[in-house]
Amino acid sequence: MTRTLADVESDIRRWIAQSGSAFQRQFVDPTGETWVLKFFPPQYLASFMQNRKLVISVTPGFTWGDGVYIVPIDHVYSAMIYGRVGVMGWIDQSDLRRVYDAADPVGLALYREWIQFKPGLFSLLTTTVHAQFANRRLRNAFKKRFTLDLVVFRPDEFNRAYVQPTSDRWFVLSDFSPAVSVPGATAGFSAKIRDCELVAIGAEEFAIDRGGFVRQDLIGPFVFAGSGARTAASRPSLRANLTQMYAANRSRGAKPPQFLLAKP
Amino acid sequence: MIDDLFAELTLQAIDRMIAENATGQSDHALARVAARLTPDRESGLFDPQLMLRLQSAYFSLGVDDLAELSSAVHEWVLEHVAAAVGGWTPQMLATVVTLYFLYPESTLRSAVVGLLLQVEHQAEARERRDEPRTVSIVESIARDDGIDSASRTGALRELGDLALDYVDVFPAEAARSLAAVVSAAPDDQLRTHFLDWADRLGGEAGELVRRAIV
Repeated sequence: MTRTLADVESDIRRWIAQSGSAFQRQFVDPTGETWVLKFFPPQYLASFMQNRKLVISVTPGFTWGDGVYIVPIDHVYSAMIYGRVGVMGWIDQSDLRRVYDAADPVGLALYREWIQFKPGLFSLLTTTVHAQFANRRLRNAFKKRFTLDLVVFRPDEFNRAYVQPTSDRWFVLSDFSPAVSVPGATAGFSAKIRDCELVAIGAEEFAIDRGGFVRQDLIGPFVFAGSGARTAASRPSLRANLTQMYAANRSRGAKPPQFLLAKP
Repeated sequence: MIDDLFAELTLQAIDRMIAENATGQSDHALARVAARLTPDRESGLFDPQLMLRLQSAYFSLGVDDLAELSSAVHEWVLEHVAAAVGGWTPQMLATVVTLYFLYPESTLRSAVVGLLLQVEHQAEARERRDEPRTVSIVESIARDDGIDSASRTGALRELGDLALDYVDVFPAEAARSLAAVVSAAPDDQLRTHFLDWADRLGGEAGELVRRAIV
């Protein structure tokens, strides 16, 4: 028997409850903060240093629609493929009431089922060249419908020395304006990632491959040639160092910020 | 041609940044433009005069000028600039309706329908209209002598499907649009199509759709 939208949405609400419990166990510190990082190209450092806010991405083609794309602190290497400047902040539990685990096949299957109840956009998604625009609108509509604060998903761009595709997790944090109902109407800078500080500068340079999904590291493979396979899993944890840099920069006053130099 | 140089350069820049941003390289730059032109809680960069200037230039463009801009730019404008419009004039709404017919088979149509439903929803408290805001699109399709009956039904079904996408966000407005679409259809095909959708939706949404078109 075919499931109705009402059936599917009921299952999605149950999944959101389960996702929230799992997220709490895995990504929320005992003190209630979720620590996150974002890496971006250096040309935007000046702007960041002015307002210390992270950008809400609105680009069609991003995995889970509009929002702030970040990684949890323990998966920081996977974010370094996106730029040299590493910024850290935290999310309060009050901004993480509803989390959706789209890293798990159950979450993905429910989402795929749900979008089939959007006949207009689903048609554009499946039969036109505008798929990435349709995807963006569908994902935003989904997040709006279930007032999702954050979606957890698996990395879908790769580099073997930085990204562990099966075990790393990436987040997209919603920052929809409550005044605007139409999905997709977001703008500017996030209010939900708090007290952002510069904490790391990456020394590696990346180039996107022709397929667009692999970010090749251009320095490390040649500097460390012959020293064994460089893999993301073999890298040391940076949690303590990043936390130390962050704390120092919160109280630095007019002094220049300290930062971790992330070697290739 | 866009007379206002600021508006022309801004729209050109947005077009270029969206095109370049497939890899996220222009994310920050796009956000700064959005923060300047859209009320933004965080940055303090919003300049209402710039927004009004862009709005004024954009909504006075004729169809040929609108066709010079990409669908991605139009979507951006509808989402970011139009979201801040206080009162919608008939001329502005006519521009929005024009956009619906500019790029068939694009998500711009979804953006247009969503915006019209939102305008109707926001106006509901102030003024009760007998007709949904999408009726201009319905009438244009119904009056188009250049298409045959099957194409007309197809065009109306597409509009209805796009309205159905918003039944969870703007339920009353989406239902009114569906009623207008079914009323304009030459036969019962569309009623059957949307009754089938009412069954598939189930729950309150399904009941709402059924009541609107029976």
